[in-house]
Amino acid sequence: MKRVQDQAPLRSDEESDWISKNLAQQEKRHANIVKEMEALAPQRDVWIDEFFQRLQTRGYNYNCDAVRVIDKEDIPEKPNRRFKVVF
Amino acid sequence: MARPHIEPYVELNDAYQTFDLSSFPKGANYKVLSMDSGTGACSLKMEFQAGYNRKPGMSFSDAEMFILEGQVKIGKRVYGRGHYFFIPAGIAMGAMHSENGFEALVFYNDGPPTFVESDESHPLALREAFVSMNAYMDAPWLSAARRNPGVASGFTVKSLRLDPVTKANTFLYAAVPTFMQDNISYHDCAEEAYHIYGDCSMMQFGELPTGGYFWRPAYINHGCFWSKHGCIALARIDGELYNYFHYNPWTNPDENAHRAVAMLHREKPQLLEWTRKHQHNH
Repeated sequence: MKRVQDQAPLRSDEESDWISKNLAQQEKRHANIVKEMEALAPQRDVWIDEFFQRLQTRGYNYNCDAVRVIDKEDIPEKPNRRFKVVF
Repeated sequence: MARPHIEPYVELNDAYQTFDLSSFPKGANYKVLSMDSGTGACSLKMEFQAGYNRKPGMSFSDAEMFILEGQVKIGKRVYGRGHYFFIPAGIAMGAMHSENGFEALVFYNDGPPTFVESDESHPLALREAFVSMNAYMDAPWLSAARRNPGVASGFTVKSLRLDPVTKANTFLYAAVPTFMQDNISYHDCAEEAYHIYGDCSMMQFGELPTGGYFWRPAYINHGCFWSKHGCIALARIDGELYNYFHYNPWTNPDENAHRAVAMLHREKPQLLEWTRKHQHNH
């Protein structure tokens, strides 16, 4: 199927410069986010502990409001590798 | 090429920049929320100043616009807060004028912002895909799950636009105060959202407040979820959203994708086998 997008004129130098400028800013923003999320690690560990506690008491939402209590032996163990949340 | 994982980003902390692409009239400012490094497709928050004028015209990219605050006249009609447009590439929009200015989320889905003055739509424009509606008034909130497994009660969505082929979807979501959902989720699609108002927190990223934004590629863990005061957000996905729920916070996107493929294999073994045998690459 022919599309309007395929008939777009070639990207101008001005458009390429605009994209490059904004991508450079985005790269910095992403690096800042990674740092902020690494700094959040101690708080995240607390949230994970609290989450695991609720799984063993109130339960895990497996579908809508349906919950299933998770046994202690089924709670995952933290693997011995670098943990990151932003990719 | 694609967009990096931007989560969380609170744009209210950053200043607007002058929107100075020469094909557009002066009088607008922008912030990039996220941008595709290959195509230049982008999600922007834009501020159109009082007295802004733009002649009738079209873009070579599909575009979407959601009015956050203020009013704008397009053609003969005036549109305000909550109005949503999906403007297929090549559709000519009428002249724009905003007496007092307005703020909007603006998305260019196929490339960087482009504008060509024109009274007429491009002959190949997909007219039937055009959407114009007030997102707050013209569509119902859906309290039931669109597909199981679904989210907990207290979280609701309303669909504004669905691509019938890719299942890409633009929608509002809202959470009631004290909403909580104890699971971790990931999807086969990228997901993007801008918090118009309120807060929602996730165990990985902390609180996303008013003005908070994320672009999250596929298969990345998010959740558990909680909201102190409730929230409302505009969200977009680039394919069908299936909730893969689990409770292991330490899985990575590769492991999540493997689990998704294993599930697909159980659900549609013959289709996967046929695809593998015929090296189908569509």
